[in-house]
Amino acid sequence: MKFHIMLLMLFIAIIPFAHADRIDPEWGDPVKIDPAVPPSGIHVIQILLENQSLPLMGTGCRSDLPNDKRTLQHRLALTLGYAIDNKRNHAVLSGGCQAEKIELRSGAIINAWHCKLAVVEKSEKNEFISSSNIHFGVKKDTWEFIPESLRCT
Amino acid sequence: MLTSPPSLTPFTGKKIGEICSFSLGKNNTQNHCAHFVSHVMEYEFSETCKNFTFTDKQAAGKGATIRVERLFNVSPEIDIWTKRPLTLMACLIFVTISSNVRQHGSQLIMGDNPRKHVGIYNNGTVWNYSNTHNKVMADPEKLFIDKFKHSYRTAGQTVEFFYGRFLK
Repeated sequence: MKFHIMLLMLFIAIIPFAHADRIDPEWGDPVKIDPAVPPSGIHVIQILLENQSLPLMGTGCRSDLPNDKRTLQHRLALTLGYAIDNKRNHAVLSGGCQAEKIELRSGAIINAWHCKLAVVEKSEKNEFISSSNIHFGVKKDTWEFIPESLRCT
Repeated sequence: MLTSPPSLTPFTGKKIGEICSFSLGKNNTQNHCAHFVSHVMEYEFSETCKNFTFTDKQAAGKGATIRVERLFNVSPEIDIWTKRPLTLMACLIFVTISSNVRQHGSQLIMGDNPRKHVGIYNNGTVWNYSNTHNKVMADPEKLFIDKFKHSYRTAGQTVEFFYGRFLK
């Protein structure tokens, strides 16, 4: 019984910190989430960085090698890195979030934000060279990342 | 899934939105090369335009695989373009930079470097989706190869072309 009470107290103590974790990149204030307002560009990047340790294996970003050890941070490096490597070309960064339903692994269907980070590499003549997109969903009320929604194209 | 291409001429000049009714058909930041090939050849596995969002899943119509490496990695026979059997007059043609393909056991595996492209080769012509012009192009083989040798050139890398037999 004592153990359970201690566990409960520990859980209660952790909850505020878990929410306080998300700090607004502009001023360092706690982020106030309005479920009616989609995450902005800086929050899209922030959410991706917060989830950088998510393994790609088993997601729509996996490679076809049997032991893909990479995590989301490696995919971010891939998506953003190529854009700055080639000095002849330029990269156009875009993205954002829109309302979409997402089916969880449990089968539940929730209202969520479907977010995207896209990098399109173009030549000096504005010809398309390559693109790299990361798509993911977050819960509307908490911006909690939904791993099963992760897709890379 | 088709084991040989249908008549490709009617696709020439079409925009992806005329071929795909799902949300990806309206997305201009997406490389649509594998997406186009998969709609034509009826490849529907792994990540597709139909399983992309919940709304897409509810819509009618067949989906199509959207990633180049998924097609490359399941093709029943892959090798470098210059080794293509002379009797093979229709197949998939892949382009990427050299570091994006590696040998894994007896199989060549393509990675997810963004510089990759796929088209359908048929008797000297490559039908492929031009993201620059946002439409299907029918390029003569030499033009196709020259175009990608130029656009994918990367310091310390070579641009590699591969043939792949149609999926079964």
